[in-house]
Amino acid sequence: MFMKTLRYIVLFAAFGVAVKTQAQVSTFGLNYNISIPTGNSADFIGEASFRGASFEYTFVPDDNFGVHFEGGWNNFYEKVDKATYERGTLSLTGTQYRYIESVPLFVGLNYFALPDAVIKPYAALGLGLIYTEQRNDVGMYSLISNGWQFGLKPELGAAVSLSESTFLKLSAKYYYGFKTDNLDAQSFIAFNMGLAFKVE
Amino acid sequence: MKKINFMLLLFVGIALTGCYPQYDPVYSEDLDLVLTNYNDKFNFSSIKKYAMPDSVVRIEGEEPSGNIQYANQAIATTIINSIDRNMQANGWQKVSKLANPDVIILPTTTQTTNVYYNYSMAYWGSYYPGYYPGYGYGWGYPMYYPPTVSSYKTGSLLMQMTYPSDTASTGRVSVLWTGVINGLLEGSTSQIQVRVSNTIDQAFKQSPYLKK
Repeated sequence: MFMKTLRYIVLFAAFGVAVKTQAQVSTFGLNYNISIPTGNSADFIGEASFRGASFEYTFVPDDNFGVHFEGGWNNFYEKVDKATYERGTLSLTGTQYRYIESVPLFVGLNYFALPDAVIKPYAALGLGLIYTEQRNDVGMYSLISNGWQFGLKPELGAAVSLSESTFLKLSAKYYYGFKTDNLDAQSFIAFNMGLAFKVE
Repeated sequence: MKKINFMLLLFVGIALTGCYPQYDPVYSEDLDLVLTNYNDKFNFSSIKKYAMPDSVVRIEGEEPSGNIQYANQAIATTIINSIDRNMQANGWQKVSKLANPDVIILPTTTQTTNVYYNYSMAYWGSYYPGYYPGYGYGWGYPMYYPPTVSSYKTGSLLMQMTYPSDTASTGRVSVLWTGVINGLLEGSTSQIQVRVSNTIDQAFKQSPYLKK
């Protein structure tokens, strides 16, 4: 009787551990980003950014649903030859060196459609803050607007299993930072490629 | 194994953040700057006559010390000719300072690190009609303020269009329009002359309200 009970306990415990290791997964990943400005951001800088990176920590307590934390950095740049910039009665002409630096910090939910497949497509929605610095260097002047913007980020992507603990991640994210007192709404689409690793 | 992965990630992360772009302007023209500002409450179409000195004062501090210095005459001639060409193309008529000009344009240069908006009128004391040393005229920028300009490592030209008939009533030299040109003083005199001429043209081009 005792042995039988013990056997059940061991079996149950083993099953519990098995459930834990199979379904509860955490990954840490790093991505390289290529970003295309849209909206007001595109009016300021028309060129794509090849300077961007982001890291993600994803916790998947259930097969289909997960929570992610993300931090990133994207730098946009464009040189505008001899443009005139006006503010009130002031006009300024010179070659402009324009920059947008965008640092998104997000928390979001993921939905994995095929958790057991080798290629796991997912959709995610993030809420967070984006630190934006918009800078326009003209001659010796620098016109800077910066601040934190409330942000939204829908995302589509796929995680491809490369090994037991390594995934290749491909995703497209649309970042939207809402207008603040000193910054217009900013937006861009980032295409990301990176690796994610299982962590304990 | 996991430790190695994490170290790799950390390394890649540091390497990527090291990519902050540094775009240095290659040509002097890329740093040329033309800045204009004006009193938008003033009706420029109501006046027509302007006067301008034949020399360009060089400012070396807020107050003149010793003899007044003047800019290199080759550059000064380019400055005066370029302003004349643009003013006359805009329909203004040049007159002597004694022929009751509506406005007086004062071109000043500086090769120091600042633009002195508040330099003393004593620099122009011998030229400006109705100016008596010691009277202490300041500058009046009615309805607008000049932009903050500081820490230049370069040469600057400041053009001030002043309105003498307003001076007596306010006790300040009323400035209706300002143009600041800033650039590197590099290259030969002829290269600088071309850039000075082009940038003065730009100052007038971006000030369409000066057209008659």
